[in-house]
Amino acid sequence: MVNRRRTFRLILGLLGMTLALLWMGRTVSTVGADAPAQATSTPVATATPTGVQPGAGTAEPVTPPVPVDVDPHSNCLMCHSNPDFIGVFDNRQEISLFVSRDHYASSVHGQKGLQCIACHPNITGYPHSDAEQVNCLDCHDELGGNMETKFVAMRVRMPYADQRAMSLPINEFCLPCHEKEFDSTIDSAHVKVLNSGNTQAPVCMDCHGSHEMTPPDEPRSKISQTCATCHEAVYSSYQGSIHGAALEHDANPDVPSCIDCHGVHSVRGPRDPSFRGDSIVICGKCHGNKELMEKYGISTAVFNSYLDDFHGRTVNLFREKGGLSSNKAVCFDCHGVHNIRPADDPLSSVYPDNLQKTCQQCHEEASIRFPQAWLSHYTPSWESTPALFGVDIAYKFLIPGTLGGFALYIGLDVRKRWSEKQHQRARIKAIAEEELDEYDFEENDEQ
Amino acid sequence: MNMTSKKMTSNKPQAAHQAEENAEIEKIRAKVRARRLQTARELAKRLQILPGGTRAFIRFNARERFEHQLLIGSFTALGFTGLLQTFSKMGFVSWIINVLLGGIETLRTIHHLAAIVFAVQAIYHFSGIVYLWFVKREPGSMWPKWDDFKGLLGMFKFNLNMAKERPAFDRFSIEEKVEYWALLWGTVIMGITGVFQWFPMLITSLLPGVAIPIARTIHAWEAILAVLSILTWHMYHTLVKENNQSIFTGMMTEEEMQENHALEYHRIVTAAEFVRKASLKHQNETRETIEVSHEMVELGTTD
Repeated sequence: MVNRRRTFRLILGLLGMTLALLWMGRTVSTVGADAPAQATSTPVATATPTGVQPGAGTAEPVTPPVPVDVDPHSNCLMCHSNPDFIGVFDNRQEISLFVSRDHYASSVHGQKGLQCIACHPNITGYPHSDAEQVNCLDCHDELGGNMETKFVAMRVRMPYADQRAMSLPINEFCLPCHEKEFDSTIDSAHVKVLNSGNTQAPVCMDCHGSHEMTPPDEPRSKISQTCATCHEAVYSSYQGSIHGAALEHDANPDVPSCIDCHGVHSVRGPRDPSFRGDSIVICGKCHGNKELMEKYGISTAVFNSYLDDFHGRTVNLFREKGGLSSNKAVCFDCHGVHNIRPADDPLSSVYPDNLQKTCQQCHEEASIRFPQAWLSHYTPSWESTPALFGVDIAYKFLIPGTLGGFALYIGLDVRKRWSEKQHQRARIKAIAEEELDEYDFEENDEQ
Repeated sequence: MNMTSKKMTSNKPQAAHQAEENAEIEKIRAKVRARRLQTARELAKRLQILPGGTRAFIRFNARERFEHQLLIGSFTALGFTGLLQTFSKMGFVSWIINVLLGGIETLRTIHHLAAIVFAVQAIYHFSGIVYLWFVKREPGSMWPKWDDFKGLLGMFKFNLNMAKERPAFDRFSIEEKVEYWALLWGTVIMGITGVFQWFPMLITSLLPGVAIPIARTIHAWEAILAVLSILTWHMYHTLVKENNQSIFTGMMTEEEMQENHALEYHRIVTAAEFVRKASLKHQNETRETIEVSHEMVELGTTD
């Protein structure tokens, strides 16, 4: 019992001492640290021990509040404004540790006045970990020298296996401010890949950047270019499509960029079981919008005529049910996915000459006449399909005509039967009354 | 026959020739009488004397009733699953399809199965017609006649109080004939357009592609027409104006027969009388039975 209490006190004391030491370290670095410099001739800092966990000892203390300072970055930038500051990971991968003061100031976070520790709250001072390394006085003769002019190429060993091992934990610090966006990524295709163990899956800063972060959609073409970092083949086919070309060349505000179809943070993989079915709504969102389509002379009947047909009806019923999508054709099965082109473009999969081949993707034995079975989104008219239109009109007369005839016949029959019944009733009543009269008369006579 | 007999007569005495001719005529007469008796017997079988002496008439035999039962089942299934597909854009219809019936693919399977039942039934019925036409060489009682038109006119006149008597109908009234021919027309149309949609690959290898959307349009409209016709015309004449259960029981009462099928009633009753008398005096035909047979000729012995 006594022993245990003593141990507790000991631990408490040690903890207090650690805290005190840390605080002191921090004050020292604030007051007297010059930019640590090291000659490039010694590529990896000798003091960097390998295998020491990053942030051990520094991560434990409570995150200090953002210090209010005239130039809050000055402490960090003492080293990190060195353009030749390079870190080397265990796998020999190099990373520039330079942060441009100007670029940061013009970034979205810089404009809001956020300081380094807003995103790097685990960096509470120098050295960043107890494994650090560079002794300021190795390069600077005296304290308080002119740092700006004394930058020399500097290479330090990073206490991480590779860049991802460093950046993925930093990414978690987006959460406190961007909780909504963070949550919406939970079911996204990217996070699924990340959770499956692939550390190369994109996290916040892979798309948004880190220190030079600017609004992601200014200009809009920046969006697809961002995705192109990884999805290069898709991007090049998108560039050739009517949507991509309009976005890239005309800065068209209406055409979809990647995120308009795939979503932003909740980006879903096209192999998601419900993506196929939901895709028709994605296309329909714009192609069913009369106001938007009128600008480009595109008919909005395409969406409804699709829903009226066999494919659309089936796909939509599956969609409404939820879960698995139908294997019947959706918009992109015929029109192409990223390489959508107008139907009068000979490269389009729905160009008349290419239609048979397009149908044959599913209907292997489709003859040259088979594509005509689909009316290319046209509503039947005298001009396009006189036979179909005629049949439709004929039934619009035949059905009311037939049923009208039936109604006339039945109506007359009902009327006749009704009046027959009335007559019968009247006759019975008359006979009964007559009998009653006679009866009364006889009765009276007897009396 | 006449040619040979004439040649033979030239060498024979007049009296012998006369006797031979008479015998031949008598043979033909016997043949006609036998056939007439046969027809009458078949007709008379439809008159049943129930215990207690009430007379009942067989209206539909087991085969006909079974056909109709199949038709009710497959038609209802086809109409229900088909119209649900036609109107699947409506919210509650898609709910019925997805929640109650387990999805569009299940619905289509039901539709196809019912279509097979319907088609088999239709083929069976058509083969019956072929047998009737080419083996029995009879037009059948559903064959349209001039009398049907007169019956229709008569019904209008009667219902408009322009005639005092309801027109007398034979085995099938004009109402039933309209029903039958509408169904026949519908079956052919729906069958063809249904096959078009079921096998679009095959059809477009033979016909222009626009045949498929045309078939689709016809199939949908014809279905609406068929279902509405059954709901109005058929239901009114069989269940609303009177409760006619003969397609299930196979039987009709004497009153019902007199009311709806007066001509057939007379034919059956006359035939029964003819058979009765024929069996009483089947050895020598009497004047009386011949008279009855004359009456039958007027009414028409065959359907």
